[in-house]
Formats: sequence, C-alpha cells, structure tokens
Amino acid sequence: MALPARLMLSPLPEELEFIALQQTDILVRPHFTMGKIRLLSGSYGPFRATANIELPLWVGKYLKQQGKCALVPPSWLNPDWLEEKLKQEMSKPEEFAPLPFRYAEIAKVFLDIAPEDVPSPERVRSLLKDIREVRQAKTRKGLALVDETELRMTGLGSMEINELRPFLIRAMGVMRVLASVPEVPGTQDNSFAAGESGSRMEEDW
Amino acid sequence: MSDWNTGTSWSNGQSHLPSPSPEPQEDTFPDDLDNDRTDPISLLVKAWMTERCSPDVMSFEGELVGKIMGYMDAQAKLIGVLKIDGASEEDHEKIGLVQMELDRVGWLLRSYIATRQEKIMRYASYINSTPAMQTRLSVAEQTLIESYQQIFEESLIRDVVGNLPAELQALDEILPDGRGMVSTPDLDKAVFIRTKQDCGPVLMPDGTPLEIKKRGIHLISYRLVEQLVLRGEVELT
Repeated sequence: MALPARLMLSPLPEELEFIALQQTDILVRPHFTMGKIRLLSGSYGPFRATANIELPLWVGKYLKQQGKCALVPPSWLNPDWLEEKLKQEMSKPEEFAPLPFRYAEIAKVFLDIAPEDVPSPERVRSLLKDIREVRQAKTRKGLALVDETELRMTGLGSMEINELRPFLIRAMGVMRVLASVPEVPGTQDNSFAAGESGSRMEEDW
Repeated sequence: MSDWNTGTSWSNGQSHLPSPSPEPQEDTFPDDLDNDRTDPISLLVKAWMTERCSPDVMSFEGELVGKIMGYMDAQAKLIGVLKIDGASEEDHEKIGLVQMELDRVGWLLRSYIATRQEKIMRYASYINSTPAMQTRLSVAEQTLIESYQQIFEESLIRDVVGNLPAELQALDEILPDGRGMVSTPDLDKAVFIRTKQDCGPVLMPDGTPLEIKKRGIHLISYRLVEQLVLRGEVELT
C-alpha cells in the first residue's frame, strides 16, 4: 500500500522517535546476566549485572520496560546543564544554543519510561519546556527572513524542524512562484497547481 | 558556545543514580551524525528518510533491502529453532529482543517501500516515458507502474477522454501557463538539509556562493544540493 499523501508532507513525531531509538546509543546498567546477542544492527553483550553497557536506545527501552535495567541518562539530560542552556538561549537572541539534534525525542523517551533514572525529572521536564518556548519565539522572529532561495537554521533540533516543515516548504514554494518570471505564473511548480493548494494550509495549521 | 563543562554538580547527593555519561565534547554530541553508523539498519533508516524528504524518486536500494531481508529470514528461522528446542530463560530474553527488532525492521521496510510506491504512482506516466527514471526502480516497481498506468489510462479514456472531441483527447498536454497533465517531480522544492562535513560553496541562482558548514541546517531548493545529497555529504532531514 502506498503511503498516505499526508505523511509525504512531513514525518510523524513517532517516526522521528523511531529514528532516535534506532540511531542513538546510550549506557544501560543491566540487572541481569546474559551472553552476547547478535542483532541485525550489531552484536551486543555479554550483559553483566551492574556493569554499564552501551546499547541502542530501543534495546535499552525494551529492557527497561521489562524492569531489567536502569538507563544512564546522557550527560546533557540533567537540570543544571539544561538551566545553563536556557540562560544561554535567552542571552543570545540571534542564535540557538547547541543541543543534541534529537534532544526532544531522546528526552521524551527517558522521561516517559525511566523518570526515576533522570535527576530531578520534574525540573528537567519544565526546563525542556522553557527552552522549547524560547526557541519557538526565536523561530517565529526568524520567519521574517524567509525568501525564495535559502534559509539557514543551524542549531534547530529534528522535532523543531518537523514542526516548521509543512509551513516553510510551502511558504518557500509560494515565494518562488512570486519571484519567478511574472508572465508565466506557476511554471514547473506542480505543488502549486490548482486544486492541490488552498485547503492544505488549514489542514497543517 | 564554550561552556559545556559547567553543570556537572547535579549528581551531588544523588549517588543512587547511575553515573553520567562522559561530558559532551565542545560543539558536538554523540548523536547519529557523529558515530556515522554503517550497519544495514542504519543505512536503511537513512535511505528511508532521504526518500521521505526528497521531492525526486531516488534509486532503489535493492542490494541493501535484499541483504536485510536475508538477515531477517535467518533471524526468524533462529527463533523457530529455539522455540522448538525448548528455550532456556536466557534464550527467552534473546528471542524477545530479536522479535522486537524484526518487528521494527519489518515496519521500516514497509514504510520505505510504501513511500516509494506513493511517489512512483504519482509520477507513473513521467517515469514510464523516461528511461533514465526507470533505472532507479526495482523490477517489481517497474511492473507495478506499467500496469497501474495501463489501467489508469484505459479507465480515463473509457469514461472521460473518449467522449471528448478529438483535439481534447491527449493525456500529456501542457497548458500555456506551464502546468502539464503529466506530473513530474518538482526538483526546485525546498528541503531541509543537515551537513555531515564542510561542503564547498553551493552556487545560488543569483550567482552568489553559499558556504555550507559542518552541522549546518539549511532550508534550500533540492536542485541546488542534489549532487551533495547523492554523494552523501548532506543528509535530508
């Protein structure tokens, strides 16, 4: 079955979480002993109780949900570091404080399934929310810079990009049409063809 | 950008917590850009994301998909054998993980194939008349769009076009404003790119060079960065 057209506009947050689970390695402290295991993405183990082992996040999530391990949060997932970033975020209105590209997805997994392994999870949660809001305000200001050719967005996380994607890609398409040769409107722009536009905007927002 | 080393005091008085991972290096995080994974599943994740984000139809990763399907078969057989032999508790644990991975990879493969299917059906008529595009498709995909287009055109001619005056019967007409009846991928569509390395300057349409630095994230027309994407120097994201 072909993918539903609305999913072609932008990946779902769950799909980005899937990528983060697959592509991020974390430290796990197992509560059990098990020999080496060969998976498609690599070989892991042997597992020894209380000896930290590096595993893909999805393996850590699976074991954690079975109550078989504790997760070691990445060094940036703690209130002091995030507080520092929040300050930095507020003191530099022109740029985004550097955070891991998939910080939102990874933090969500940790706070969802292993809050007891995260130092002061409630503070972490509220700091992440504050950081997100400051960054959103910056993004909104940055929208004024959109033109038909290029926009530099270095520092944004994957989840933040995903939120902006449908709007920005469409906006840039519209500006490209406006900037193109005036007597031939809509040249080569299939997405701007009649019937396809219009209603989409409301769907996305 | 240089204050990574602050903020380590959080573990004070909370010694029951697992020790933190090593401090992030300046400017970098151990995320998926750094440890540039080359295992087949990570490659499939990248191919899937590229296909999702690119306006064009990319080349089918036939070799990779074949390899992964082979691995999946082998893992599934292994589970079968273990289950028949009566699994120990440790085997049980392993079966759970292997099964979980099979489910995840199976879903990923289906989504990759489905993404391509959506695109090739949308551009079926263009692909069928463009040999260069056909080389990007798997045999199954070629068969699919050939029969898809045949059915589509037959039905269109029978129910609609066949009843119109002869001069309106073409299925590949291009209107004066440039819109055509044959949908083609819009290569000028904007995409989000994330760079793995410093790339040479990209020449913008107005002639100015654009420096693309490592870890840069840009929203830019796909056509301008197509070669960088194909060479793997930038990722679509």
